[in-house]
Amino acid sequence: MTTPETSHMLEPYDREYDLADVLKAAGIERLQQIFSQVIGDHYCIQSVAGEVLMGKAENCAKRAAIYMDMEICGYLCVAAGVNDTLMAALENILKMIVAAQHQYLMISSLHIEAIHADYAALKDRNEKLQESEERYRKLCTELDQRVQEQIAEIEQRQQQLYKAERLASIGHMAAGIAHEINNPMGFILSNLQTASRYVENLKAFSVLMCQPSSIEAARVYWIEQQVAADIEDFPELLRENIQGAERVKSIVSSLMDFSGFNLEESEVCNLDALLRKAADMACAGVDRKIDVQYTLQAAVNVQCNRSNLIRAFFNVLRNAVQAIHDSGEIRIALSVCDAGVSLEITDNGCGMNAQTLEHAFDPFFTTRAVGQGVGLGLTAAREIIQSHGGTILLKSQTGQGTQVSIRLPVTARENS
Amino acid sequence: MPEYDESKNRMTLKLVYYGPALSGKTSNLTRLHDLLRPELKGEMMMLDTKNDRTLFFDMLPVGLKAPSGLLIKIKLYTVPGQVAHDSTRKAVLSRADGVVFVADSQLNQRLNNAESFENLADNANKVGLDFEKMPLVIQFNKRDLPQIETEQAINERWLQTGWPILFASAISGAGVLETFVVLLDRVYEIIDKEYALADQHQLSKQNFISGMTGAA
Repeated sequence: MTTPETSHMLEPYDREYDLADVLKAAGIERLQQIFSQVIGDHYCIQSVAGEVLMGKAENCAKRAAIYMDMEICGYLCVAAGVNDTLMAALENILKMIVAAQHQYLMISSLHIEAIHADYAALKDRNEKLQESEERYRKLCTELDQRVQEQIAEIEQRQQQLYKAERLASIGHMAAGIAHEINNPMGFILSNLQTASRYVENLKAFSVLMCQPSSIEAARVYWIEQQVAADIEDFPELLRENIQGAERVKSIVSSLMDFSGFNLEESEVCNLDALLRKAADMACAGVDRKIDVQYTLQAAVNVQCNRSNLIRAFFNVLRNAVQAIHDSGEIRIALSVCDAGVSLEITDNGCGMNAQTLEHAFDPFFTTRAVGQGVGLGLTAAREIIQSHGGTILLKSQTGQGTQVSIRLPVTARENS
Repeated sequence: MPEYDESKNRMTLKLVYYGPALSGKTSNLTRLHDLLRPELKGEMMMLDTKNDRTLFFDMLPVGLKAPSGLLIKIKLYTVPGQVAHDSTRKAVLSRADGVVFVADSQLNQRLNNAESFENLADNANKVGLDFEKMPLVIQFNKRDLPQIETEQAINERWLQTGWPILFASAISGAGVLETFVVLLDRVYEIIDKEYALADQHQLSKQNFISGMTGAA
């Protein structure tokens, strides 16, 4: 596509044309050929100002005016010997040529004028389009950048919130765990005091036994102070203490699991063990009578993030525990299905109404009293299950308890 | 703005017949070609297609010589009415010294008239004409047809605009000359202000009109 020249002004199509214009448009050389065939060189065509445009200047014996737009634009002149009929014929031909070429010149100029106007309008529109396209592109980039910033901010806040939730969970657990540890520590301490007393008794008895003079006194001491009973009781005391210490050790281990102090990386874990650990933590420090029943298929191993999955199970189980007010049962059923592993956690606690159920996964939605939970438990659980490629669904009715269905692919991987 | 060539003592005015397709613009010009007896009359330039639709323009030149010797030419143009030829229409309209808007009186043409009139206002502004001030005459043509709007209805709608409203039947010639005369009247007022036709060229309005039309 060529660019029309816009540097010089177009001549308007409705300007006044002169005879030279129209003869030029018709092609002067061709006209000269035709005229010379008819009349030889016994003619000339002059402009209104006297300029010779065709033919020879000396042929001026007779002349006829040629009109264009009501004005004389030039003359047809012939030599003396040319007869009038031939001159009239040439005059008519010349008039036709002038009229036709005048019209042709006007129309072609008009056409060019219109095309230039169209082109200018098109160019203008194109420029505006490019401008607006540029604006939109800029806006688009800005929007994209702003979206990225917002996403980054949301992600950062989400992580902060999860950390906060984790801390809150740990705080909640800490209370329970303190109670759990306090209990065995109480009887371990009491047992140790008793044990010290037994040792004092045995020490006094052995002192009496070491001198022959006091053998009798030692025998009386043995009977009166019931040293035999102390010795009998001693192994039981130690056994209780070892049990208590084991319990403390197990709780500390659970706490470390939950806090993620152990392994953050993906690993193959036995779901059975994870569930039991989570259930133990959820029930820790709860004084209500809660019966946890397991229906677990042995050795279901999944590739997972151990501490995260424990946390998810803990969050679900803690809800179950909290739904039970006086006494009740929690059933944990684990089975293998086509898509992987199916896990049902069912409680017969207070349940949820439709409205609560609808919002159960919403962040910060909680029915607990202020300070008792921030409402991120199920949100975090779902996040973790989904990050393992699984799904989590709730079914519940007020007074009928709640069923949580979790599906995990056997090859579940931590994607995040 | 008239084209004034001082060296040749010549002034050329351009009057444009505008309007929707098939409203009778070319008919107005051919009637004028027959009716006018001006001092000077040139050949009418016509370039229509087979189905009588104007492709570029029609042009009829008339003229007179003022007592001062000034040659005044008026070139009457028609625009192509078809919507598609807008850029040609705009080019024909440019540099116009006066406009006749030829409307079609038929009842079913009201919308076409309105669109074309809007197009005139729009294009006038685009080519740099002052639409409010330029001489403009509105002619409702085809009064000979049935199913036309009544004069009363047309006057009610158009008279308040301030532009002269004329009724015509170009096919028979009725109203064609009258329309032209009203436009000449308006054009004279404006040209006279700028070029002092009466004072410098001894050309009164009456002589201007009669010289261009041949009417007594």
